[in-house]
Amino acid sequence: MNLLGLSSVWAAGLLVAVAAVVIGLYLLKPAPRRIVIASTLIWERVLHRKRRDTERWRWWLSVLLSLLIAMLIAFAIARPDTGQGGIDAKRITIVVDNSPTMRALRSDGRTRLEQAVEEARQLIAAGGAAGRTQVVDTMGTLGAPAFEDRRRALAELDRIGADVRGKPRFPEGVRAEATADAARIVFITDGVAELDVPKGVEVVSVFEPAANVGLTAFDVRALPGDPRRYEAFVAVANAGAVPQQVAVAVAGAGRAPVERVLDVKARDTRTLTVTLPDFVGGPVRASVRADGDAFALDDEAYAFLPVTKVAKVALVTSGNRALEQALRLDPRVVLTILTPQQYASRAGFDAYVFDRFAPPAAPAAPVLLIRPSPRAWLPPIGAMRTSPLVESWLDGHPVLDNVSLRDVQIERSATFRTDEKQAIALARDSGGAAMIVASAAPPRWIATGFAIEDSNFAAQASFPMFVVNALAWLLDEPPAIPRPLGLASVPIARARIVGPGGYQKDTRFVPDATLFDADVPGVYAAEGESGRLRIVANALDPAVTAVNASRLAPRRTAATDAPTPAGAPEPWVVLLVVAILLMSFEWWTYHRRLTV
Amino acid sequence: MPQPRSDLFTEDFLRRLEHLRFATRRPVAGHLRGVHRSRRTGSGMVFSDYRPYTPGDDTRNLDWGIYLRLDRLILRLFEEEADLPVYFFVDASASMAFGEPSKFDFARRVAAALAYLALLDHDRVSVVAWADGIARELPVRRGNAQTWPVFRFLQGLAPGGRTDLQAALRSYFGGRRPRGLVILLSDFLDEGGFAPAANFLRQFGHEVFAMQVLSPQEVKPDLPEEVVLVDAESGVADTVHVTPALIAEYAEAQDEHCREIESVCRSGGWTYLRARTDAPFEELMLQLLREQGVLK
Repeated sequence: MNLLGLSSVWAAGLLVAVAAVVIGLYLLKPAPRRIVIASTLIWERVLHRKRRDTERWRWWLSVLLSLLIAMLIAFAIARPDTGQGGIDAKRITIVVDNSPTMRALRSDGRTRLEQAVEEARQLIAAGGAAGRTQVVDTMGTLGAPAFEDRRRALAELDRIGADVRGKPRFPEGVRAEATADAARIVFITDGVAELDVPKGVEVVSVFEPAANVGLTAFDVRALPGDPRRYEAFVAVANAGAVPQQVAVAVAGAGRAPVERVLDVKARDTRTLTVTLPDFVGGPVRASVRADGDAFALDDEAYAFLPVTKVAKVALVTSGNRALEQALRLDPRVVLTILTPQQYASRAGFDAYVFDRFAPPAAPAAPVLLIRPSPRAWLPPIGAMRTSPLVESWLDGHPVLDNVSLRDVQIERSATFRTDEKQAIALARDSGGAAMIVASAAPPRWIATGFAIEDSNFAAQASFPMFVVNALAWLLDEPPAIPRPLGLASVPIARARIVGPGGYQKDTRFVPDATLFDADVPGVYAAEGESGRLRIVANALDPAVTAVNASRLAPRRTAATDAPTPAGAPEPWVVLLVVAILLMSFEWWTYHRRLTV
Repeated sequence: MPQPRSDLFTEDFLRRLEHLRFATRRPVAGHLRGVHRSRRTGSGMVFSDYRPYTPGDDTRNLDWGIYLRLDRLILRLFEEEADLPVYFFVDASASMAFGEPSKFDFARRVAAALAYLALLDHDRVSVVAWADGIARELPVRRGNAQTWPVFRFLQGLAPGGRTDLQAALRSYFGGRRPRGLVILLSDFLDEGGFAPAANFLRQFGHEVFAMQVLSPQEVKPDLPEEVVLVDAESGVADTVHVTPALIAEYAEAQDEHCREIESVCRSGGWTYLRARTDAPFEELMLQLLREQGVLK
């Protein structure tokens, strides 16, 4: 017998205290009023001696009834438990799979996770109050697990939610327990996540096939050669067992959504490319809709389009036909050509291109410098190299996106002496010297160590792309950073993060970066002293969309038998019912003067 | 006739009372001249019998008509009227203090009224206050001049002590007392019972008028649910859980008790009257007692 986990001494003390209180209350009961009458002769005839003898018995009966009622209530409150049954007194570890696929709905309207939690509750209830239970999840949201009593274990269960952050894994501590055979381990899962479940672990399946159509890829990019027009790439997967007609919608801020309908076979994936001619920038949302979809997490995805605007660009040169043509190819550029002498008298440009020229002071607007003169605001220029080879370049940098420097022949080029803090080297020669550098500190600038005339760069197909990319990098907002759901990092020190709902997110700061929890798909904004960035968080993962890729057999549980364990009611319920019945009996006896 | 003045009664009531007198069923045994028929023959007004004349008889009672017709001397006999010894036995036990007005006040008012009547008729009046014995006793009084002493005696009584009618009767009638009318005024709440006392009294041949005095509070008690009832005489306490059913049972027991008293009285040829203290007093004296044959 267990009472709230109390020891026998404490439990006995509790009951004695309850009894003492009840008897005390009876003894403290006010004495009845004394009334002097002429004679009790007639009353004695009525009451009879026999009935007078029962007075004391009536008192005792009342006390006993009250004691019994109080004891039953005290027992009921103490939640007694006999602790009998096969697994009851043992330690049990319950591992609940709360990976994203556990959000899939079952036929009874509950999610797989809710079913798993219910299964766990039944296991804990069957273990009795004497049992010690450890509740662990596969996403690590519960923190340090420990064997606890039933009440706390149930409270731990309430904290479990399907987590989309990070990858699920079987808890290492539980794995060690399984090896040591220290406790019974039950793993409740849908069997979709690829987890290394150790031997000896009982696997309880909550898997039930679900219809799911989801996005597995979504990207929006500007059309090559026309940065003002965009196209979206969408991949739609059908994880269900029947073909689906899927409505795909791509919507941008202030624009009518572009809608398409796709027929997707069972367990197949289809892609779609959609032109978005009128989209001018801002968040873009893709969504899919299909009949009977039981998994909402992958039904939408987000992208962010930087706002592209027409820019007034001044080319300061003594004459450079190739550069001028390349600039004119960019449809958003309004080009003005100036001589170095005219530069000082003209202002009001969004960007500058200095060809073999550099003013003594940095301009107020971003600038692309082609073979600049040494200036204090630029990195020191080192030795002039003859016929250098471009050995390496950062092809992942936006300036060199789709730009190849492999075939560029350079007669002579200056190199820059710079470090990572001042400027980043985009291209280096075979000696490791920087030939193309860029600084993201406002106003931005990009500088090449070689002139257009001293190379065949202008004859390369990459040249116009380099110019367009350079102007885009100088003028436009940086492209949004894609991140999966979960812990995300932003390369801005001590940034303030605003989530899709407009609320500021909790952050953690690390050197030169900020960490935050991207818990829902959407566009997040990060702003710090060094700049502003957007982060697009999506759950685009074919493994998540494949909610039916389970290694376990389907198991259907009736909704009616799930909530409560079968069998007799708990002892405290029985005790309470008996107490209520006794109270009713006492009330009945009191009003018939059988008790006092 | 001088009228007694008392705050016990109004003068009008006393005047109306004067028209009544005690009705005796049998000839009285008084030896003084009174208004009640006695067994003795003598100088009364009511013819009783004839007997032969013997020397020494009063010649005034010779029936001369018979002598002329039969030539024999026959003497006419007349019933002699005598006084009536009246014994007032007023219960002065503690139980008589119960009620509002108290049963004791009621009883002594009845006693005073009846004593007034008896004294008017020159009956011999004895008043005894009793409880578990003789508490106080007023020796025999006769004549209406004794009204005040009787009233003062009654007013000076106070209830107290336990009830033991048999002890009181034994104590009083243990001595020789002329046969007369015993008026018992009591609630008869006697643990020893009324029958033994009645049997004792019966052997003396008295006429008895028993009045059982009841207060409305004991006929229909108004009690809280939980109560400890304390006996006024013995101090014995009883815890009682009062219910309507119990009150009904009590009323039945009370009635049964009264019927027992009445039954004992009727079996001895005594007069019994049950009187509630809230009953109109004048109606009791002027009407009920006549109906019961106590007064005429």
